[in-house]
Amino acid sequence: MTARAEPVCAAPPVRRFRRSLRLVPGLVLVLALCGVTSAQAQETVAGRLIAQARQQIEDINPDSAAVLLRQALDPRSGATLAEKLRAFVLYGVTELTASRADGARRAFREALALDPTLSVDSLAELHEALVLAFTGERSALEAAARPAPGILELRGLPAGARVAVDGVAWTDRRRELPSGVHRIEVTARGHFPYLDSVKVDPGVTLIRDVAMVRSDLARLSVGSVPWGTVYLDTERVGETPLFELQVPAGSYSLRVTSPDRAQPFVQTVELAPGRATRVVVPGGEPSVALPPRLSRADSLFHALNLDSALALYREVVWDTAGRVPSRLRAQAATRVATAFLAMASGRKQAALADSARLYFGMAYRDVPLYEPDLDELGPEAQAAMDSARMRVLGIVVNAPADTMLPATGGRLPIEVQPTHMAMVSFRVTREDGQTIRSDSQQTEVEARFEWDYHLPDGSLLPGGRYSTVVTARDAQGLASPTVVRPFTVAREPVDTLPHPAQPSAAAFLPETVQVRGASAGVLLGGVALGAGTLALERVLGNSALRTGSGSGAGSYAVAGGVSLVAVVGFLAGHRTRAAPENTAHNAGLRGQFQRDRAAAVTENVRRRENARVRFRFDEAP
Amino acid sequence: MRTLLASAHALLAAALLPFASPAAAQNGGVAVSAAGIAHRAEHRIRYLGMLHDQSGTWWGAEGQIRAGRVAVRLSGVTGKLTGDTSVTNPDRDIRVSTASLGLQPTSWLELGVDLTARRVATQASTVVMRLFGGHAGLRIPLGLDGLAGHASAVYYAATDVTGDESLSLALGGELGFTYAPPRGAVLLRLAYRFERYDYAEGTLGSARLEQVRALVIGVGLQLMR
Repeated sequence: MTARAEPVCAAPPVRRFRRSLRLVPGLVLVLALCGVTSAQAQETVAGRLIAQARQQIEDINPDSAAVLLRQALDPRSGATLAEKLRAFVLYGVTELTASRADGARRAFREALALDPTLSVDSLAELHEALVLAFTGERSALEAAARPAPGILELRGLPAGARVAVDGVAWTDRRRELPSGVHRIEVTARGHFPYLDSVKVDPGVTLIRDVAMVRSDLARLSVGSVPWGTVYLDTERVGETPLFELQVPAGSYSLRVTSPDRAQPFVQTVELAPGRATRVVVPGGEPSVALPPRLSRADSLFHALNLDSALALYREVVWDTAGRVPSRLRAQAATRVATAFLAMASGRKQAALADSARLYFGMAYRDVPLYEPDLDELGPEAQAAMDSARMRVLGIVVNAPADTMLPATGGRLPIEVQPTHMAMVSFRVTREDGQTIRSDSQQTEVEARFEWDYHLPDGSLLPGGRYSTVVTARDAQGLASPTVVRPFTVAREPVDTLPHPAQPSAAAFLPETVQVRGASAGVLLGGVALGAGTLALERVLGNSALRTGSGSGAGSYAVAGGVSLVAVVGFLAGHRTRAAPENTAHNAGLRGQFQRDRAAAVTENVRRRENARVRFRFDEAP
Repeated sequence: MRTLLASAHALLAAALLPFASPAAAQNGGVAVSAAGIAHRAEHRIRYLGMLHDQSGTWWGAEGQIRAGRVAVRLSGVTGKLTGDTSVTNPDRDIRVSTASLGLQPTSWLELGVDLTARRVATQASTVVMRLFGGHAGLRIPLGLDGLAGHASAVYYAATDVTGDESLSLALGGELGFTYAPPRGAVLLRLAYRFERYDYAEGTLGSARLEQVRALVIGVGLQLMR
């Protein structure tokens, strides 16, 4: 178990070292690594102890040697620096002999701390284990003392270029460097010297394109609106904007042609070695309708001050406050990309072309169906832009801004145009986020969702606020931005019928009529009352009090009066008689009124149910 | 108790006015009427085998409030009865107050309760009668709007007499007609009224029988129909 616990790489060398100790009695050579002679070692107490320890090692008695060496390293022994070095190294040897690799490393570490330049390379052939242990510890110490390195890689060097980094000549183009700032000097025949400083971060590989300018070449920049193809003499050299194209110095016939230009622009240019020449083809004017910042950037762009133009364009592109319309942002992003393309071409820096594609992608992300002004981009730039478009999945959602649809049978169309083949997902959500309708279509050109604006239970969508949520994802997993378009649903106000007015009282006929002459019952009632009056006393009274006729005079008066008024009432009074024809007439009036009213109610219900539905989409941002 | 009733006697006057506002009874609304009334009364007493007659005119007022099928009536009359003035039959001062509550289940029938106080004062004594009973009445249309005959009878089931013997029987009846022209507020009434009071034999003497016959004439106003 103990053997297994030791470092695997340490045990075999130790055994070999033991064998080597037996085979090479001249272990004095070990001591020679410190340049120590026995005569010197014996001059002090420490020297004597070291000499004895060496003898013990030669006798393969490492434990005794270790005791002697610990005494030599005791501060009271008065060991010199050289003696300490010798003592530590020998102590390491004794530890290795005793198969204690950790102890050996500690001893070597102490020795190296005293003298970092201490080396045992010359003994490598004799004592492999010693060398391995020593150099390993040395490397560990150096690594701990050094900061984490980075890697610097230089590209774009002309043939025969000589490179020096921090004054150290490089034969290769990629090397590990300590983190920090380093100075690069590159020289090449026929080029201006290239001087630059780079900062290498720990663990980071820094790639630097070295764009050396040929001393015997001239630089030519050409700008034009609309874009044009640039020829020097008869050779096509690129498209505008052409930025710092390096060509041999001399006199050239510069020709710029464009499909939009009836006559090519022709000019003789004298290109001096090492000098930059800018030619701006007259005729193109920046748009004056643009915001001032963008207009200024355009002016700089067309004047081939690309670095300055880039700064302004970038401000527009990265304006996230919504002050710049998305189309103008897309236009600015296109200009940035175009400038990067031109600079990449002239300076031969591939990284700039990557940046150009990034900005083209931003243009499409802002305006998925963006079509740049064809006057600005030549075929090469357009090809780069098309390439960028394929790396961006954008969608355009078209919905009617304000439309009226019938309550039934109508379809609300939502059209979604992805920038390339993708699965388009469409949802309609309530204000609380609940989805009430979803669909998806795979399309390359346009997905058309037609919704009958009815809920799953078949009822018409009630009025309120809703949103369409549209996303897309292509086969490569590229997702589009999510486009949310809120809209309002409301029913169209309907013109309802008024309820019919009730028939006036005058329209009704009396259902009973009064005829002159009351009924005979009146007469009978009167007579009965009169008789009752006369009989009242006889009926209720006590016979013992009755005298004569048994009725008072008043009773006769009342009986007569009642009878008389009954006769008058019978003669002058009226009685009522039913009038069936009038009753039927009135029933007809009432029935007609109720039918008219029911018809109006039914019609109004029908009109409300059939009221059209209005969809109003909020303005797209 | 008697003092209270005596003091209220002057205020409470009750008389039968069964159908003062027939129109209101029919339409279920609220009707208020008030009328002044005059009774030409004949009072007959049989006591100790002798008949005594007195007569007099009483004046008073009556009023009615009718709400739907319910009617409340108050009436009061006061007057004198004079005749063969003697020790056994002195002149009398009469005061009658009645409160009545009636319910009209149909347009022609009314049933109700009556509370009547009669005060009969002579120089020698004062008799107060407190009568509680029920009445039934009929209403008979007589051909013209606002003209209706009526007949009613009241029986006092509970009586209390102060200053005289108790009553063994008390009842009454009235027949007549009322005319309230539909286009006016005037109310006319003519009726014949009969009341009977039989006193029981007691310590004060043998049984005494009394009856009142009265011709009732009323003129008033209908304030609301």
